[in-house]
Parts: sequence; C-alpha cells; structure tokens
Amino acid sequence: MHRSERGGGIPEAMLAFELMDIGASLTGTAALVVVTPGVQAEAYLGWVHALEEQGLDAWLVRFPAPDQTVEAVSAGVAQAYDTLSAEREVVVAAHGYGGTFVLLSGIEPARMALVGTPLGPHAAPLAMGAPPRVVAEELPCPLVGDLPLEPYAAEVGLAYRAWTTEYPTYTPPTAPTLLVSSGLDCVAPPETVRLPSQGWPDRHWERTGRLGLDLGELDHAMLLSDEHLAHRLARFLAE
Amino acid sequence: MKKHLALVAALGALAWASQGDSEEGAPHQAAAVSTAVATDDGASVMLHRYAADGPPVLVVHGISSNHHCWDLSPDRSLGLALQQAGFDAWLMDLRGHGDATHDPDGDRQWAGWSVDTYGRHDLPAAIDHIRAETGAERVHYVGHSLGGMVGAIYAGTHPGGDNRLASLVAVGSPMDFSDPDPVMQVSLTMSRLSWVPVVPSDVGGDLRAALGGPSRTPVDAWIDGMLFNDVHPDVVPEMYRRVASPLTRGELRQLAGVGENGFRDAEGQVDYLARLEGVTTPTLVIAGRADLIAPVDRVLPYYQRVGAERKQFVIAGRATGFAADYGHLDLTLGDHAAEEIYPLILEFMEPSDVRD
Repeated sequence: MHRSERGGGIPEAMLAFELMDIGASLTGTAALVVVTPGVQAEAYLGWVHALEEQGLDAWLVRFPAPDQTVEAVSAGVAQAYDTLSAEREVVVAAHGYGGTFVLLSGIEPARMALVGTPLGPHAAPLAMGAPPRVVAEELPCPLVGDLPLEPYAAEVGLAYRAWTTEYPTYTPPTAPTLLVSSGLDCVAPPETVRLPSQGWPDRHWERTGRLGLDLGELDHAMLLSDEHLAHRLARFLAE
Repeated sequence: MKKHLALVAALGALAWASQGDSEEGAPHQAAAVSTAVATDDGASVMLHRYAADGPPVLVVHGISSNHHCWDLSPDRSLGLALQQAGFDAWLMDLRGHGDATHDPDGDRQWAGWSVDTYGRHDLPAAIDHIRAETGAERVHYVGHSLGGMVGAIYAGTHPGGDNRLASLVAVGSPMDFSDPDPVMQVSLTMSRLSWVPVVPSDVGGDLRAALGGPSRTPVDAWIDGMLFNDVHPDVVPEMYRRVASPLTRGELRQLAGVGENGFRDAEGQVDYLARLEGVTTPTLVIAGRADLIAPVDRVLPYYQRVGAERKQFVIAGRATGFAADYGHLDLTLGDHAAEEIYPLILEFMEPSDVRD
C-alpha cells in the first residue's frame, strides 16, 4: 500500500511519503515504524518481525523524495499517523533521527519507542566530514557502524548536522515512551538522551551494553539490528 | 568444588610469584621523591614529587587505586609529563592507598573513614604542605574518578579551598547518579550490605595480573571491559598488579546512597554537586566515551554545574576526534593518554597563575 498526500502550504512533491503495510495484515493496534531519511527501509525488517510477533500490525513510513525538507518529513509523519489512527490505536517506533521527526510531528500515539534518538545537542563538537551539497550520503557522525544508508536530501543532511549543536524545540510526549541509548552510539549517546528527557512525564530509560547487563556495547547500527533489543522494544509497545 | 579451590590456590601462588618478579623488575619511580605528610586528624598521606621550577600540581587517584594510575611507566606517567613541561608535580596516595599504609605513629591505617575524609583532611594536608614547600599561593589540581569528586569536595566546601586551587581538572569523575543502571543498582546494593571493613581489591588485582595480558574468560573479559578499552595486553598485568588498592567500608557505605540522594556527605546533609555552583576555579572536565565506571552523562553535570567562568568539557572518543574510545583507566594510562589526554591537561593549566 502506497499513499502520498498534500499538507497545508507544503508542495506535493516535497511531502511525498510512502506508507506501507509491511508483513502480515493484522487487525488491532498498528505499529508505525518511521524510517529515517538516509537509511534504507530494509534495515527495519528485524523490528517489523518482532512487532508482528507481539501481534502488532507493522507499517513503515519512508520519505524517498530527493528534495525533502525537515518540515515536509515532520508533516509526513503526522499525516501517516493520522491515516492509521483514524481507524485504530497506533504505537510508534523510530531509530536515530527518525525519532526527531516523530517529536517534531507533534503526534500523540498510545506508546512510543525511540531508539538511538538524540533529544538534545551533543556536549562536545563531533568530528564531521564536509557538509553535503546536492544530496547527503552519510550521517553527521560517520561512525554509525554497519548501517545501510542511501542518498537523501542535502537540506535534511544539513539539519542533522545542525542538530548536533542546536537541537530543535519540541514538546515532550505524554505517552509512555521507551528511550534506549548506547554509550558507543555516536548519533545519540546517553548524555543526549537521558539528561534532556529527565522531565518527561512517562519515560522509560534504558542504557544498553554492559551497564544494562548486556554482553557488549552497541553502535548506532546495532541498535537497529540487535534482535534482543527489537524484542524488548516490541514487548514495550505491545503492553 | 575441589578443582575450583585448587585453581584459586594456584592463581594465588602465581600472583604472589608475579609480585616478586615485579619487585625485582625495578619499578619505574626513579625521579620521584616521596614524602609522608600528616593530616590534622592523625592520619598520613604520601606525596611523590617530580620536582621542577614551575607551578605545583597535585595529582590524585581514584577509588580502589593509588598514584600509579597516573604513573605506571615512563611512557604512561602524567608525573613525568608535567615535570618535563616545567610543572612541579606531586602525585598523591590518599590514606590507606599505595604507599600511605601507615599513620605517623607507625600504625597500619586501613579502614574507618569515608570519602568525605579525603576532601576534609587528606587534601588540605597535601595542599598546605605543597604551598609551604613551594611558596605558591595556589596549586593546580588533577583528579581521576573519585579524585575529581574529592577535588569538588575540597573546592566546594573546605574553607578557602576554592582560593587555593589554580585550576581544577576532573578526569572521569561522575557527579550525577540519577536513573541508576542495572549494574549500578547491583553495585550500590552490595555497597550498602558491605560488612567487612576492607574489600581487598588489591588481591583481586594480583589474581587478574597472574592471568596475563589478554582476558581469557567471560568474567575477566567483562571486568576488563568495565575498566579499560585501550591498554595493550602486555601492560595489563602490570597495571592490575600496581594500581589496585583496597576499598573501605566507609567509602562504600557513603557511595551506596548516591542513587537515591546524589553525591552527598556521609550524613546526607551536603549536596556536593550543588556546591560546585559556588566554585570559581577554572575547571576542565574530561570524560571517556567508553568509560563504564563514569559514563559521559554522569560526568557532564560536573561541568554543567561548576560556577567557574573559565571551564571546558572534553569527551575523549573517536567521534570527537580522538584515536580511541577511552575507558575509565584509558584516561590516565591508556595507550594514547600521553599523546592525547596529558597535553589537554597541560594546556588548560598553562595560563593560570599560582601566585597572588
């Protein structure tokens, strides 16, 4: 299933998003998985399987247009959520900057899981490569591990860079929200997640790695591919 | 069970033998002159001086450690690096650690104090001694882990403490313990239940040293991973053998409360993190990206809360341009510490004056 819709004041070409009912078509609660611009949708299949094992109907929303803007992606997240929530309860999962778009969209799902999503600026400057011009091809921190990337809008790439020093304003969600961070995630290390979220009304903070009784430390890519973490996330969203 | 006991006995024997080898191997310390200094509560600390004509620097170790965490070998020695840069370096053993095993009466000092004691008695004794010896009004201060926390106690609560420091450098020093992680919760519970006066972690260090360089079992791999991430396997046995010192019940009991109440004095009255807001000493805070004892998010509030106008926060990790993701001990004696961490400390101290 593919849909693209027009949002107020934003040209249609820039708003284009794909909302896909992926995996089995189930009734009941829908789990909207927000694909980060710049990351291949296939990287989320482990989450999809884990969500459906918990009886949630997994949907992916992605933003393939090469000239996307931050506003258009945020509006696309809201529109995808509105489309699903018109008929059923919706929970939301996002990884990395996908979670930032969820926050900027202002949606209020029943439950939410943000994994490796920074919630505030970095405490020290990152060593970054040259800024993107026409298209962006990597995330601001190049040490993301084995994350399958794809070209994406330069404007969004520039926003990612800017967010490392000046994070956009958002309203903390009121829904129960799982926040997962790893010390070795260069995109969203714990100081950009745990400390900025301390005033959130219902947040569930988890640090992965040895301090969380895991065997090893996870980088940004592993936060998306780790099977145990996918199941933890799915169980939380299915509660 | 018998096999297990035999293994422990064998490891113990090996550790003892290795200790002997180490003594014969002429440990590095040639240029330092050691002095015992009495505290105002009848205890004794030890200062190891790498003398030079420049400003004095007091260098303090962390919990369950000693001055060797800053001075393991000529190429892993902040003491020598400071001396070579012209600073007058004083490496400290807090009471009961390293070479500070006996009080001025010659009695063994091995328990009966808390973390507060270090900031209220040990640091004042060391700093006053250094000021008297050198004529300097102010002393630069470098602390690793608990050493940085103790520096915060001194600067934030000791009368005149803030004025006697030329700079304050805290390396891998956690000051925020909110949202305790599972491992931290287990550690705090064990600390609360601690009934023995002393936990002989130095014996554990000897046992690990006897196992040799690379970790061989999941248990020692896990412990190694908690402590360091960038130390060559050849250095690991020497590090464990020389750096580990006993833990005391008083330290553990005080730290057991940090998850609920933050870092406070043993009576729970003084909030040491809040007291940092009154500290005006120029402050450098360094955190290691892979530090699991003092994760970046637990160190950052040290920098955020300190009232100093001139302050700096550094994360030592690959994403911020360093050669490695630094673990807890990597910050003081890791393979890249001499080329990446020591220069940061030297550069930060350079502009500060130690005289009125």
